[in-house]
Amino acid sequence: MIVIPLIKGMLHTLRRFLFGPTFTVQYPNRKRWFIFKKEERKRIPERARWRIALQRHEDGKERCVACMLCSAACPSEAIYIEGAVNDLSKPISHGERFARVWNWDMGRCIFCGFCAEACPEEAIIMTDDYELAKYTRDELILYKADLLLPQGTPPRRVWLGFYRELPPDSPVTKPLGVHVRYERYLRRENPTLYKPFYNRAKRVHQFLLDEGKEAK
Amino acid sequence: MLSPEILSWIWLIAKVLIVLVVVMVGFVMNMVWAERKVSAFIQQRRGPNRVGPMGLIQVVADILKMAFKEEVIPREADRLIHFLAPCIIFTMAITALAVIPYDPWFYITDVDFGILFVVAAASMGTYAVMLAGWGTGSKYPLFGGTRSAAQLISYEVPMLLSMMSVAVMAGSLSLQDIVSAQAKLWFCVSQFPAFLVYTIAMFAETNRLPFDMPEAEAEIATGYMAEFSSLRWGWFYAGEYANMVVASFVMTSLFLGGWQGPLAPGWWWFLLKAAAVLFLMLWVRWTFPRVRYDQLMALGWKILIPVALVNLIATATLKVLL
Repeated sequence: MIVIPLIKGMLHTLRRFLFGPTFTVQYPNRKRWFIFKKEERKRIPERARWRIALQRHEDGKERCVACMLCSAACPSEAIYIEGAVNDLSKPISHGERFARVWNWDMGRCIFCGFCAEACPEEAIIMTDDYELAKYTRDELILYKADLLLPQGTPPRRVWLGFYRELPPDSPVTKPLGVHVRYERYLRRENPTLYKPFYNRAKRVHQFLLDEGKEAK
Repeated sequence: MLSPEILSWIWLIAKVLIVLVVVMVGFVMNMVWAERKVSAFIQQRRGPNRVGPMGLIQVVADILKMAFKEEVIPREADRLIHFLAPCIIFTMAITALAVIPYDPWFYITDVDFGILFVVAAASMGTYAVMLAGWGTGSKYPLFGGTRSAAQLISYEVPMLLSMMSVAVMAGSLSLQDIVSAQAKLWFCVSQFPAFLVYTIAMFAETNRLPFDMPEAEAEIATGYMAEFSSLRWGWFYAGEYANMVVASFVMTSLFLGGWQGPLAPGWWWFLLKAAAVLFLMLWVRWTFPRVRYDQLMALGWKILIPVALVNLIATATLKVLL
């Protein structure tokens, strides 16, 4: 009989209609006063490589010591750093120097993670904050105040590479990224050819200074 | 002073307006919403839920979107026919509402040839599809229109035959009389073969899946609607849903006892049964795939017409003998 499979199919869809779970993730859900909508979002992996952030030590001092390795490692020149010497009476970082300016150009960044890999202080981590859309290009440049994690945020280790698992309690030794080695090679072999990076983040910083605005 | 004649005219116009508002706002607009919601639930999605509570005002947003779209008329199109086709399909779809008995006392008019009127209006709606296929001067719409014509012939016949056996049972062509005749037993029980034939023919009549040959997206790119845009396309869309609503009303009157029912007032039962039929149409659409064109024809000519014919002859014989 041809009728039985037809009825079976109808019952199947009816079951889905009445009792089937829905799999839609209601992601950009605005909360309104007249209707309650639950905010849902997809859980993304802990080690996802989205917006970078700057970590602090446990005592609240910044980890970044303005060594410029991240800036050197960055293939798209998205990081601009100006270092300054710590005032010893109230130091900002644990090292001799600290980052007076730490700009990150999200429009240039390719989220490769080399900066986090190159950082000897584990100051840079990549977070799972993926809501990065902005309305203007200027908003795409984040300053140190935007990037620094608040004090008390649990510290996260940067593991070697992104695909190799390490036991969590093993001492992490960090080899320098290939870009850093290439920079050092250039600097050693031909010091006259070596020029510091003049990237967009720096130009924007300079522009803001020229405008008389205080860079954040 | 208002004379009784003027008052009856005002009451007639009021009835027409009530029916139009209930059918257009209550059924056609909500059917668009219900189709999307039912399909979403069957496919385990959520469906529209952004505009208004549960997405109920989504239809208004869709209409506004359509109204502001650019209207494209093909160069090869016959402008008059291209203009007429959407008007005809919707007008003819809502014409049949005039003879539907919503309640023992609420109906626009009750004519002796109610069934014939309904079928005539539905057939005129198919003319609109054929005109749309011809008038756009394009290939795929022409295919769609031709298919619609062939489908009309092969499905109007079993549909009429099944309706005729119902008319034989009730002894009248008036829909109000047919509903009254179902006080003891609904015709979907006593005329079960006719009920099945009408149900299947109804899907073909309203161009719904699994028989939506004239607008098969995968084969002929939405067929007769391919060259329509903006609000003209919107009228086709509304006409399709109005056709569904009318078909469900007719099925309710013919087979499901119309306004017959305990406790609640008659129109309540009528609308409830119509809504159930409409849900059946959505349910079937999102369950079954589209049949092939030759299967459609074979089903119509080789199965439905013989079944309906035998049923009609048996009904008439029993009616005469008993």
